[in-house]
Amino acid sequence: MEEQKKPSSLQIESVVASDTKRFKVPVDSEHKAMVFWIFSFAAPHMRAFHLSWFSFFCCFVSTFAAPPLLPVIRDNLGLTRTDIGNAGIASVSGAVFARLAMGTACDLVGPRLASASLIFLTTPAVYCTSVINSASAYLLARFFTGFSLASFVSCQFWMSSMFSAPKVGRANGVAAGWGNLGGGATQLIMPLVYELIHNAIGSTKFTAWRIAFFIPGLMQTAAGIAVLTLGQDLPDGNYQKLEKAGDKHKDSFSKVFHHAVTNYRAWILALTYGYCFGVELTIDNIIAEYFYDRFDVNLRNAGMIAASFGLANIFSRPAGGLFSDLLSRRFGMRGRLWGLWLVQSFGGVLCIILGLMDNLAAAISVMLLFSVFVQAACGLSFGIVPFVSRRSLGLISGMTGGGGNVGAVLTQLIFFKGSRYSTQKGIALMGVMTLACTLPIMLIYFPQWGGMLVGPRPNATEEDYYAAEWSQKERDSGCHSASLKFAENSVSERGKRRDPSTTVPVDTTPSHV
Amino acid sequence: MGGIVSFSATSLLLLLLLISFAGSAVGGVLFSTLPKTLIVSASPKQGQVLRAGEDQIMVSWGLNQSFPAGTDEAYRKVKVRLCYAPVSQADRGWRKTEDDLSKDKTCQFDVAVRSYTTTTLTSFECKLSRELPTATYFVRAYALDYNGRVAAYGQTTDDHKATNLFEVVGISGRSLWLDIAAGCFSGFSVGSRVVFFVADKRRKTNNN
Repeated sequence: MEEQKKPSSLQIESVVASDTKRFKVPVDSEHKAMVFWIFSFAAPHMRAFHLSWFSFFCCFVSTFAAPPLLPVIRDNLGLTRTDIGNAGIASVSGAVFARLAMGTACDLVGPRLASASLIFLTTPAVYCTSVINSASAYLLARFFTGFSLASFVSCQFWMSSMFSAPKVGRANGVAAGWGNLGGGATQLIMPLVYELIHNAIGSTKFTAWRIAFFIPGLMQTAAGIAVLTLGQDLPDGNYQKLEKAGDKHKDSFSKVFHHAVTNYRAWILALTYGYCFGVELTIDNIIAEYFYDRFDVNLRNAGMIAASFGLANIFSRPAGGLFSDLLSRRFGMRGRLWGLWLVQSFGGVLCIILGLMDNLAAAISVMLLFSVFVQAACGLSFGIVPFVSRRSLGLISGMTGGGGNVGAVLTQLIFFKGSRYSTQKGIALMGVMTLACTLPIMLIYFPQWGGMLVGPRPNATEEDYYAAEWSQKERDSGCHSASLKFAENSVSERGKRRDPSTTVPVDTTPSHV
Repeated sequence: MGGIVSFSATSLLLLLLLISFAGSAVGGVLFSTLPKTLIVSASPKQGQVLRAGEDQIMVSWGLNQSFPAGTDEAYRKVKVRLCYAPVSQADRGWRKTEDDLSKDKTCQFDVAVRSYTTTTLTSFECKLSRELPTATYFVRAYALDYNGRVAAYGQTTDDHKATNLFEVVGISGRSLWLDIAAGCFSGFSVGSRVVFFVADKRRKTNNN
């Protein structure tokens, strides 16, 4: 006779209380927040938002902490341009697989543990950047630090778990946008910290930059501790607690993996994300040098220009997410798809124009406009990703995020390594490739909502789509209850279309006369 | 949200205006037009390895007597610099040699700046700065006129920059304290994750 493990009183309390728990924000049937109050820290939803964007911000600061200090580092370590280029590629390539692993980890152990573990395991790479002494050590340091960019996946997964369908686009957009801000902020923070240490404390150049790296390291450590102690996976609690109480089905890796890789939409989004986020990462690595070489601005001004590209993230990526939500309210998922295609294609056009600009002021203006569109496209992409799958949300977020990094690696390898193309020609060609690789969005089709060019199938429902990820046996044992709830809440993706099933049938007489 | 947008847009516009008014490059003297009227010699021998921040070099310069008298009438100052040899410039665009001296990045470190005197040879001993990177160098002296424009030059190596080069090994910038701190913080980082993991597991077994 098998003895059932009796849950402790604490857990019974949380199982019952979850039905009547008072949240500080209005919630839907999955207890996801239906509002997005950006300046609130209310647990668990808004607190998760702030932990999420801040920890991701710290990871971005660490990953791109070296480029603004390169003029000092390259002399200390005797780096060549090839060394620097290779390290730049290494810094974004580590995250390709890390993001996939992170997606799976989120599906299996939850975003809180997954992101905190990642942060704690990559922080040593940041601290150890202070003790490197050769080009290969520099490459390894940037490679391992770059793994922390996988916290993007846990950030998006967490937001998708905490916010309901009408708000998920903007929640994802603001969290990721403010996180990406780290790539711009670091171009200002690191030189400032370096100057302080070099001038105020009086260390030599070659010691000052090493000490400066403790700042991103400490930021990351603080973020990791905050996530672990203050964060919570789902509105109802953490994965482990919910799984024990039977509230959450503990999934298997092979099933999650299967349903992610067999969903063609995930692959298309991975490709297109490579040409908005991948382009953004590439620009982060090359733009300062481009302005320095082509327009003869000094290094500090080049750094400021580079920073302004990344700093635009404070509003442009959130704007993309918001725009996605607004389009969805009127046009449903078809609006989100059209919005993404239009914004990303226009970003590609601006990229081509940027490569052709000969005048400094014109180049900066085009670059700023380009930054807005390319970052908004990233926000629009993650307005769509939460709907591709419910069971494998983490892994699909990981595939999309990983695709972004693959795009950055490929683009830098093809157009910005060696002297085959001048940098300006490389930028223009990158724009052409963006246009080409954005076209596949036209192929994305949801039976219940439609695609860009084709309308929805008449009798397809959200339930059919999300329940299809579970086998009959799994459905019989009720494992898919979370997916069903999600399906119910995602009906808003139909847009403001008049749905014939909601009108009153003509042939029944009203019950009261 | 609207407030953030307008603030960000305004600050980006200001940044744009600021940068477009930033200093424009002014064309300078072309190196190829300079006469090589100075003789410069330095104490390091060909291939010698020196340590930055520790070793000293002795540099001497003077007018090449084979030039007619009066060549150096306009010279007022002599600026002596350490310059990168071609092997240290390879694959490093930030050390590139340009003919326009205002853009040239070959000689980046000052050894001495002295007023020009017409005595045959002036010598100066100088300690190698701690900020010198590890590289191969030679010494060059520029003669400046009243206006501070370069009028002539001399260098310890030949025109192809192949002879009489010496190496300097820079400081690493590392220190024992830095290594210990990095190790401790890294250990704390991994350790705290382990501590939380153990605490979580213990909480779970206690709850059973």
